[in-house]
Amino acid sequence: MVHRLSACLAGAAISMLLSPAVSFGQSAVPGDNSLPLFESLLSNANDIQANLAYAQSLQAAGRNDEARQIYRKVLGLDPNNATATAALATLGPGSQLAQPSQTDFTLRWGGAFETNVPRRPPTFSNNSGWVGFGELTVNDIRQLGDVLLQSNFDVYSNANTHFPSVEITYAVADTGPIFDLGANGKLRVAIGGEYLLQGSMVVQPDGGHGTRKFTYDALDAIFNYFPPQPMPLQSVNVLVGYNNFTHDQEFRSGVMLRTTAPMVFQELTPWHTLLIATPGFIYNGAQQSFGAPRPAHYSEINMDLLSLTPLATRQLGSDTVFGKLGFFADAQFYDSRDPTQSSSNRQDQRIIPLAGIRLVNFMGTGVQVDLDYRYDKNFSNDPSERFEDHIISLIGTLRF
Amino acid sequence: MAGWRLVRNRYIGAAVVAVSVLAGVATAALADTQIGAAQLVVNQVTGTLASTREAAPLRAGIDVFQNETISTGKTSASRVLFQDKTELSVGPLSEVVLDQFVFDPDPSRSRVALSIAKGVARFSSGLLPKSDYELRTPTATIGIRGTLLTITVSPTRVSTISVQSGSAYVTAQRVTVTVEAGYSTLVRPGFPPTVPVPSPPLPDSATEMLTLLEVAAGGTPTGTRLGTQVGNRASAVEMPQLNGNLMMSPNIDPQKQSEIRGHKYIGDP
Repeated sequence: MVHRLSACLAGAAISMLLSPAVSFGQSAVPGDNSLPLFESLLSNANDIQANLAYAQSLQAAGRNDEARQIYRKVLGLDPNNATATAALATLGPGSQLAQPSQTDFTLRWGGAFETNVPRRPPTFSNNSGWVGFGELTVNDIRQLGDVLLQSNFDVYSNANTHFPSVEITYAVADTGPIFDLGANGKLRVAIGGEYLLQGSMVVQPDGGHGTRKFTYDALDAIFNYFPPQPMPLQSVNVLVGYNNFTHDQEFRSGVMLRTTAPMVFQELTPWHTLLIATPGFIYNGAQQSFGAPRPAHYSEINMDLLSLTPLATRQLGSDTVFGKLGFFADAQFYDSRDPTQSSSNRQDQRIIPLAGIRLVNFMGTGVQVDLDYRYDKNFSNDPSERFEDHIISLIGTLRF
Repeated sequence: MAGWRLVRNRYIGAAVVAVSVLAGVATAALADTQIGAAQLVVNQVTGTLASTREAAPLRAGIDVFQNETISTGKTSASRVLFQDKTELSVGPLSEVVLDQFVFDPDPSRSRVALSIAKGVARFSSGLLPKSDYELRTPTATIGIRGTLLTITVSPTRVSTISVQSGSAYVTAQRVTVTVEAGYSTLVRPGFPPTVPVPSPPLPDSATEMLTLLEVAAGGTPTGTRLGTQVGNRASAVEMPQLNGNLMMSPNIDPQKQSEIRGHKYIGDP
């Protein structure tokens, strides 16, 4: 409130100092003292005083990135303009990104029914089962001096009816500064860590429904490049890490590389369809350094396509009902590096078509509900790895 | 009041059908024809029907009608979704009249017209042919040739039109200018539109409108959602699955999935 009030007062003061050319709008929309200055710029685009006044108004409102843009324009018109030079110096190289600190929490929970829990070929007996999960994600951005720091934390756990009660639990975190590249976008450089625990019991060697207990951990360097918007490409992400995989029979470690480049295409159809396309590539060079060689040098290319189309408003207890159509595909390549095996390379190709609906603000609670069906098919050159599966899932998401 | 409006809508619908059958007139010609619904409402927003001239609070999900006037208070905003998927966002201290909405199976007979009397509004066109849309301010008439534009009207009746996507034809004093995406024009009373110039950052009322509506929609203000995750198969992590496949945190290496799936002890019969 104080911030808004000071902005208004500053804007009002600036208005009073304006040249007659921009004085026509002094009685503009109450509470928006920037509007007459905005109007003045449209009729006097290269008027230095009008540009300065608008830049100062934006700066007073805390819109420093935009103020800086106008100050730079002024310097383009008048390279020796002292006011713009001083203002840019005051804003400083780091403060151009200044913005209020914000912490977002996302809670996800839900469950799924799956027809082929063991993910095995038809020669094995199939087992259907249920899974439930919960996940909390925290995304934080804050200004620390001249540094704009963006941090993330995620914790997840699930339980199911087929394996020991808690199958997977993991926690991940990363943090790093964001650098402004001006017209070229932004770059975030971060460090992060991952820890995952699988299973709560040791292997059952008699072929029962056992699961391995293992841990996975990694230390990562993360690079996120954000191109200037608007454009379909949202970011280019590169992660380079060193990971360890441990359980009672083996230990592997090595470098890994993960990349993604998510893209969003708006208004793809006359029905306001939004398409999210996410190509990705993964390489993991982890291998066992003692004993018999173990499968290692894994790589994967993948492409996820998910479309969202608004179908109706005020139906099914929600503000908006979206139709979801998805197609996810990946190709995985395993190089065991095992000279004793006649065929050391396993290749999987998976396709996962999806259809579902999304309910926004379900029952006025702010919860987003996703009800999906998907078919999961793996075409592998290893017959024991081929499977098909039907999954129905119901997920709630709440952001606060 | 909200319930009354919804109930009233049913009666109106029945009345419209009856009148249409008996009199053989087009339903679109009747007053209080339902044309869409409020999708988002933030703080103080009212709707005034032409038939009653009575201002009633607008809430998310409530129908809006032809010739209804939508008014907003300070730090208030609303987004209305029309039957043709047109989206109208109305910012603080604004007034917009939903003049004419005719949705006909024959697109050439459809028509959408609305007037921004004061304040700020953002218009995103729907499924009808672009030529069916017409926006008005006290000083200008705007033909839509694109999908997204922001309009401000000051108390002195000065209008600004900023095009974010597509293009618009702005007419005043028998002069028409074409405003392309990324450009803005200004129309003062009694003057033709100014030559379009590259759009400066939008005024505070416009950014406040967008922020209010984005937060109300469950998102975070633009610019703070910088993301971080690498290896994030964003759409895939929406999908839980037994065995952990695809049920990974964005930063979890999917090789872990293959470790799980590939081990002979898991799920062997």
